[in-house]
Amino acid sequence: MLSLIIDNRFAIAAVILFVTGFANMMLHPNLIKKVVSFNIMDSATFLLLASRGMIAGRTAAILTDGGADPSRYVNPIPAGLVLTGIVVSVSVSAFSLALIQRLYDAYGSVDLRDILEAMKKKGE
Amino acid sequence: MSALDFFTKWVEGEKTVPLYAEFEPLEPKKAKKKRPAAIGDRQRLDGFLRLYARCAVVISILMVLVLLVGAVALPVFASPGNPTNNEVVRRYVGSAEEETGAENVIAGMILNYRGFDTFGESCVLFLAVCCVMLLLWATNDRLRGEAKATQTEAPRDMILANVAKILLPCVLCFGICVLLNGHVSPGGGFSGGSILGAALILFAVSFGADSVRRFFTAKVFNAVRITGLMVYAVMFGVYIYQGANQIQSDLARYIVLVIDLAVGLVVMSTMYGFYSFYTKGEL
Repeated sequence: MLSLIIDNRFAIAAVILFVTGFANMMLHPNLIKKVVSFNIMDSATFLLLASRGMIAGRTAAILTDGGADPSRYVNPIPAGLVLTGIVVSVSVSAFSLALIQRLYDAYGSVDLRDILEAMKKKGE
Repeated sequence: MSALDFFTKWVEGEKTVPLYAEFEPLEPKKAKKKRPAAIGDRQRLDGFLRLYARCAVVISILMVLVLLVGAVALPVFASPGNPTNNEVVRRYVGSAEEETGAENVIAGMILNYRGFDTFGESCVLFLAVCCVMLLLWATNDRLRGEAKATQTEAPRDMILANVAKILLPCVLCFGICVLLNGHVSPGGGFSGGSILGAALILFAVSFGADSVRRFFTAKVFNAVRITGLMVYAVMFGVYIYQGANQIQSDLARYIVLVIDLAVGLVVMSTMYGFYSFYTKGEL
């Protein structure tokens, strides 16, 4: 059991990080903190992906004088996927923060409950 | 006509039913008016939020259990025999330098083998800036009037300006170096572009947005990011159309460098655009 946990320590850390972010995103009424939690979830995904690409005793996939011997370098594909993920995460964060700024302009609050109540009041 | 009538007529195949019939609500809302609306709403909202919180906790606990079972069942960490280290990796590492001219396998991979993916990424960044522009551009109803006076820039800081004078050339050189050497060393379009964007932001913070506006106006901003995307699209399209890996000319081998530059331009303008729209609402 213990060896199982140690073997998969990065995956388990990623799970804990992911659920921390997820629970926080569901439970926190502050919209900015929801975006922060969203970014925590992103980091968990990146951690999992990057740890999948790791191979013990090998170097980063930048070909040096050793030539193109695949058994000397780690897996480059997860690194590319993490890069894609970071770009999308930045874009989504920027977009949601802009939306939150507009909500703040309209309702004077970034708290979800206040906004919901203000929307109800405006609707009636 | 109520919605139910409409539906039965529609099911029976009557064609005279108007498409956008004015529906009456199925039952008139009388119960709602008995107590003051605001209190009722408040209570209902509270009840909903309490239920929501409990559901969220239950879902989170379920999720942690399911994901932990999955995480423990994953192949051993850092073992060379993992199923992810398959023939794709061997092919990429083995022939990246020969086929793409990039010693940095990751740069060669994302800009050549998986170039469409990276093109999509650049488009995502482009769209994100467009959305932020749409939402935050200082229009008549926002910022232009009274708020503009309160949202002026912070007073110029002497320490910041003097440090920036020393730091900026270094940051710019480092950014350009990372951008141009992306295919042979760690770095590339995304990291180099981010560093250049950070340099622009430092410039704007320490010397004021007006000094950035002397060379980086809204027109230049749009031109840079559209040029970046266009260069990428055209170069990659030509490359694919010419038969991708089959071309042997030097231009085809160093296409990674050109595309890297294009991505760097897009990322740089995106970074500065985000900063500028969040702080001032305009470029």
